Amino acid sequence: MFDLIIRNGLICDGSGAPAFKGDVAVRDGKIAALGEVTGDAKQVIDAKGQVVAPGFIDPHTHFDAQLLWDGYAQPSLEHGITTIMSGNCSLSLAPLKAEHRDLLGATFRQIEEMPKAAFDAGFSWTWESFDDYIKAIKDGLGINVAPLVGHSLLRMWVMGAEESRNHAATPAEVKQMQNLLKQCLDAGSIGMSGSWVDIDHERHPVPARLAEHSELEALCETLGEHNAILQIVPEFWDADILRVRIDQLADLSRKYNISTTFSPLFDSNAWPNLVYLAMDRIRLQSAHGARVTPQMQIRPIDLSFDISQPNSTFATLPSWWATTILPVDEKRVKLKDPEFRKKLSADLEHFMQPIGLQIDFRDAYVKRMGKPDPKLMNRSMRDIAAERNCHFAEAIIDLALEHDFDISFGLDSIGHNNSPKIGQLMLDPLVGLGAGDGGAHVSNFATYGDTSLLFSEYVRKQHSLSLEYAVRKLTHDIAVVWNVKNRGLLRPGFAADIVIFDANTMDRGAEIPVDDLPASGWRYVRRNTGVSQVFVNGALAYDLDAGYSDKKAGAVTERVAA
Amino acid sequence: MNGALKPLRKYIQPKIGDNWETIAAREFPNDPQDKVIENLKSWNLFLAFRPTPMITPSDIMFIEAPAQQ
Repeated sequence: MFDLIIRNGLICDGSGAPAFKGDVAVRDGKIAALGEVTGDAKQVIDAKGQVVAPGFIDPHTHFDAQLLWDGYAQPSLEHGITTIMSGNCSLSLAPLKAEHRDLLGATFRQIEEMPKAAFDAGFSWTWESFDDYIKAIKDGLGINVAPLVGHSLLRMWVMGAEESRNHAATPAEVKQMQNLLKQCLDAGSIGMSGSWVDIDHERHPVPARLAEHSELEALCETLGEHNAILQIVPEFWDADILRVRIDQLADLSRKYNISTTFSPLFDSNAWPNLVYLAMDRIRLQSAHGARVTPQMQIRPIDLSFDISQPNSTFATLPSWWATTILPVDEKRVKLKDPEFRKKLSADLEHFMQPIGLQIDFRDAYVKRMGKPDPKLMNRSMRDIAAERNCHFAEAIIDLALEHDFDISFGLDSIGHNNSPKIGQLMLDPLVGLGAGDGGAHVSNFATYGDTSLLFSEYVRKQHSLSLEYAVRKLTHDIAVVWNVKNRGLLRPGFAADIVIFDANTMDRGAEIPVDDLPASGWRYVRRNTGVSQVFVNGALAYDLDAGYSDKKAGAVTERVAA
Repeated sequence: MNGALKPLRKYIQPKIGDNWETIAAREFPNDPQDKVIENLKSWNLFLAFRPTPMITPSDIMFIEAPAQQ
């Protein structure tokens, strides 16, 4: 007797092999049989006309905080994702001493663009060690988690807040970091994350960036002893620097026998052959035994901005950034000052986007209003400025003032948006998929729905990938790169992480604001069409009709042994 | 090192506390320092113009001009 049999589905087993019609049987949370299954089950599902595939794996998320109030990492599950990697970009929430919570919290919220109120209301800091953080999330998990430990956190723990942000580590401190990393890996961490680019809330490099290369080498030595991965975010917009980073990762990979991954591999409109230069280097390094997997984002770049708070759109616009952080009363006064308005207008007009995004603020449109006004919603600044006979920057400023800053503006598909080119790159076995940023940038843009978009855009519309290869890219390929044990394939003995979906309708929905953050906060999400059911470790986690289940069947994943 | 894997462009990684002056003096001690700093900045625009001026030990700093496109 099986617990579950899914009958008559089109089985894409994650290997990329041709799909076939058949059944999948589950017992005790694991795949028990595959093909033509005889016998009975406690539950039988007819999946006729639908694809049955391994649950998708999302290798680049920042759900570390959200998991403490939402163990399903919504809405990831409804897009077919059954395993997420948290703790990317040198920032996890553990190990963390109590005296560093304010600093790390501010850093995390700044880089990942999350509201402080959600942190304050959403959870209590009950842990210091990585092991205790795992305990804090484990019982509430409805999705599987492969947590990274952040290099910045290791530095803060060993060196203290200020030392870690300003100084090189001594040999003794590096040794302590190695021991601490080992503890984290023993407690369930999948690997370590780093960053070569991120800056904190005080515009100061994150601690990981203060590490000398010898420190990174020492930590990679520890990763190698545990078959653990190194993830890092490089200067992805500059081909020369990126190729040096690829060389560095390749050297670390060969020397310490580790898998490495960087995110994102970004198709820059300012440097169209950047992705090819990067892939040529990766191909060369791979031919010499290195494991360096770039993560290519599936969706194009969308941005949102408002003047109520600092956001990444203004990261290279100092006058606008400085305006966002003013106290509200002072902000109102400054934004009415003609000279100040003139400066902001000039700065916006001469805005240069260093990473090759095609930003024209005239195309920005009214995306969200606290009190929606149909006469303004979705209209462009070009249109509104013409109607008001003002500069487009003044249209943004005046709309913000008129609506007490409770108004957001959107800029859609402004980079990484050449689908035929990106589809061809995805075909390359050396190109990984990921870099989605789930759980981050919550009021800037929706970081969800990439898995669904892969099927609608790159399987059905562009015909870049076969159905089977698309499934493989989201499952087995990621599990192999990340050393995730017994997931990513429909194989007897593997975890019963399963998604059932309609390949003809699978898609992401429109970006919509929802009020589901703690402390009455809001964020942008995208819903799914096409997924009917998702199982995590054999338990129904999401059903199109019934929604999210109350079962907490998620687990912290295991690594393949060294 | 295998010849094919040699760096495409010469670079260094700064020491903690480095700035343009200390790097110029160390890497090009016999050249006019003002000119060296000007060159270093032009070869490393990302470092020269990024919002946070701090140079960190994990940065990549090129010590030769980019290849002709």
